Amino acid sequence: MELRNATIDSMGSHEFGIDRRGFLRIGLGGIAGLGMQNALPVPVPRLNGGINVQPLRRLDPGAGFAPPLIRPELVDAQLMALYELGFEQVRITLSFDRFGPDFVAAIPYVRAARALGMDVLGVISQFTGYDLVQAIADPATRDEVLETYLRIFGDDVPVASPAIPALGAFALQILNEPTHFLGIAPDAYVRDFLRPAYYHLKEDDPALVIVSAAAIGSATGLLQTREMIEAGLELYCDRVAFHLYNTKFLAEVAGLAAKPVWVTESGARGAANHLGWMTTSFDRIRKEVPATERIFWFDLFDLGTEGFRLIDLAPALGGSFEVVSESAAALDWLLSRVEEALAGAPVVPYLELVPDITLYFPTDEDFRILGATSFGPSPWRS
Amino acid sequence: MALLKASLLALLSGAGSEGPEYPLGTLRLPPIAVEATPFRIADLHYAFTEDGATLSSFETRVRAGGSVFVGGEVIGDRLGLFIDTQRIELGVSEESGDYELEGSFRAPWFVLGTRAFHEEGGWAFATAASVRFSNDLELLVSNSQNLDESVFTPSPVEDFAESGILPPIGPPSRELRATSVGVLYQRENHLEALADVRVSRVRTEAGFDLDVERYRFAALWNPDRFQIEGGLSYESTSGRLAARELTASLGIDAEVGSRVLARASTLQRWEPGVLRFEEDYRFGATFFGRRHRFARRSEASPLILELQRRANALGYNERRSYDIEGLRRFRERLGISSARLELKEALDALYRAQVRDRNVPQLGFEVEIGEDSILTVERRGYRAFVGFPWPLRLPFLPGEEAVDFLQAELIVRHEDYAGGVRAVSRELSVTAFLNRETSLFFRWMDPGIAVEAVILERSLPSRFTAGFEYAMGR
Repeated sequence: MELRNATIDSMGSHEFGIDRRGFLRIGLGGIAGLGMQNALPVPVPRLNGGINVQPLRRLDPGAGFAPPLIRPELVDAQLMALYELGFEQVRITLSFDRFGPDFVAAIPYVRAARALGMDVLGVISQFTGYDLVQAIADPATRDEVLETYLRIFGDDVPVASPAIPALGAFALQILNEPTHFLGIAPDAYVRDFLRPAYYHLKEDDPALVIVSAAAIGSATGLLQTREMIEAGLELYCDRVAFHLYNTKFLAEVAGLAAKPVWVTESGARGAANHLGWMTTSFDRIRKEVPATERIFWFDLFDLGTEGFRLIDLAPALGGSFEVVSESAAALDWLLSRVEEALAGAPVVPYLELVPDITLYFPTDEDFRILGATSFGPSPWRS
Repeated sequence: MALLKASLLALLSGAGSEGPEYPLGTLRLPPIAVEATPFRIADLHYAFTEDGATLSSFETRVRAGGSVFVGGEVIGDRLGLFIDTQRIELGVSEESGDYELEGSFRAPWFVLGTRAFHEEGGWAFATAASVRFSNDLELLVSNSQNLDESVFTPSPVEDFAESGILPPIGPPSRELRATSVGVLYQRENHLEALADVRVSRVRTEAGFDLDVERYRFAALWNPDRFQIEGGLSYESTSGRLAARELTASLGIDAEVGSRVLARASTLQRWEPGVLRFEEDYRFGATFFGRRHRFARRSEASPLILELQRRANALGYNERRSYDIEGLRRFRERLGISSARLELKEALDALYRAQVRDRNVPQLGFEVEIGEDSILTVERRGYRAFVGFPWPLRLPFLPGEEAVDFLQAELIVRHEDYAGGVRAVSRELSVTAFLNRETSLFFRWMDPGIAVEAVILERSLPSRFTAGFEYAMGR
């Protein structure tokens, strides 16, 4: 199969060229359709599990609030990769940021992914600082903050096409590795953060699936998880989350949760280890932790150099981005599963489903809601 | 009241004195084995604490006649009454509708004690017994039962939707029942060893149960100018949160010269094959104005050994004790026994030896370094101590006639949490010993900004405590 790369320029036009750097192979629709010209195109099937996605606004960190607040090309590039790689679920941080730019940046990712039929697990969290946990701990702001999360992200969006079988579901996870990142004691997390969030969110939407925070994916995290579960974590969530970056403690993890488990982060460092982890280790997790329902690979793309990401996003001419393969074997394996499921049927191209990603961008109504909170209005929203 | 006042004034003035000089005069020999006619104050404690709320506590104990101590306490809303004889100890207390009853009986070859307390959830009982095989060997048995076996169920969301009030959290994890069996061996004064096994069932805050087995061995060895204390315990938890845990501790105190005591200790906790999750290291040194003496190697130690053997031969079933409060209780129990006149000379000799053996710390420091991986916190603690002896002189000067007088201690602790939060707490205490039995103290504690306080934007108030303490025969 031919390897290709995609270049998405700032105007939304797309150029596909021959890969000379091991670029991600996308554009499945055209390729797969060659053998069945008369068959009706179908959306790429969702069968490759879950993955973590970063809600990037821009790649230039010093840009601040300079327009555009969100680069459509970045959103498009990641969404296209998610769609064509056949991921079923997406986990994404909905960074509180006092309802600032980082919060708004997650909106198009969540809405577009759901419109494409992917389930979205939003993490109520914050990249840095204590603003969010203070807002949840304070009864005066707790309800407002959680309700705003639901109003912005919880409402359904139309599916991208009638060909998409169903709108992706939305679930919320309450904080990320709270002891590791914030120093919150495991029992304090359950008592002061998960419990109030559970009651407030369930009051607003009883059907919403609430996922507990996972502890860090290490031996320390195993011990922290025990303390969280002893403190009653499962009384206040629908799914228990683990982060597993090691298979050494699967036997210890296996019996911890009585409720279904979502492994919300798992992965191996170094591209050479990605495929083995994605296959052998994921199989071991499912087998040895039978309550596991979902596993989210960490991650599709990040700015770090730790070697977990599957792709890189390289700036290209005209402000566009090239989607660069960083984990060729893993990407080949994911695509081969998609192709096998397609059995030669043509696929609906991403650009046909999402001709304009800005349709999923924050709306005036979003800004009105955010501006009406006690954290707004702010000049950047206008 | 007039009688108590007269009694107290007589004690404070040093009547019947024969010991070293204190600000209140020469230390008297306490009338441990002498019958009270009809009462004699044995304890009088008063403390006042202010930390946003005010708490007063008053505790007193009087000897009535020859063979009974009667005590009472008022600590905030808590009221308590106690009656002790050499063989029987009874107590009852109440606080905001919660009751606690306790009693024990000391027979020639066993001691049986039980405690019952009633809280909102119901009654809980704890019973402990020791069976004496010899002067040196005891079998220790204990059992506890919590009759509140309720399982917490959180309120439904509908209740919250109606009331808007966040439902309460469940009760913390608690033991439903526990049983332990152990052996305590005391070889003369220099060696002590404890081995025990404990099994318990814990009802977690989450509502499920855990079965815990613990095997423990601890020993203390004080051959001459150093003392080693250590312990090792293995705990196995079965159930949902199955785990194995080892805890090891080791501490060494060593005399450096005649007036300096150096100390180093460590505590380690780990789960074999998983992680060492807690470590703690401490080291420090103390300069004493008088020659330092370990209690187990002191002039008093052979008297303790001799008196315990004699008491047990008389059927009083006493364990050897070496700390000041334990020795005081040991002497008190024998002082209200029917053989008190027979033992009077030995009891007085032991007290005199304790006074001669007194250690008078004058300068000291201690550093603590620790880490808890579960809480992701690194701890540092610094303790500095200065004591001005009586007769008053600078703290670095020696003198064999010295007694404790003014002592000041400052403790500063740093806790560095993940997320960059540093919690700093400070404690300062000043104690004035008017004599060995009578002291005034002042304590101030600033809990600082703990990690929870940063997150919850709450600050904790400083706490001041001031008090007076009189303890006859201390």
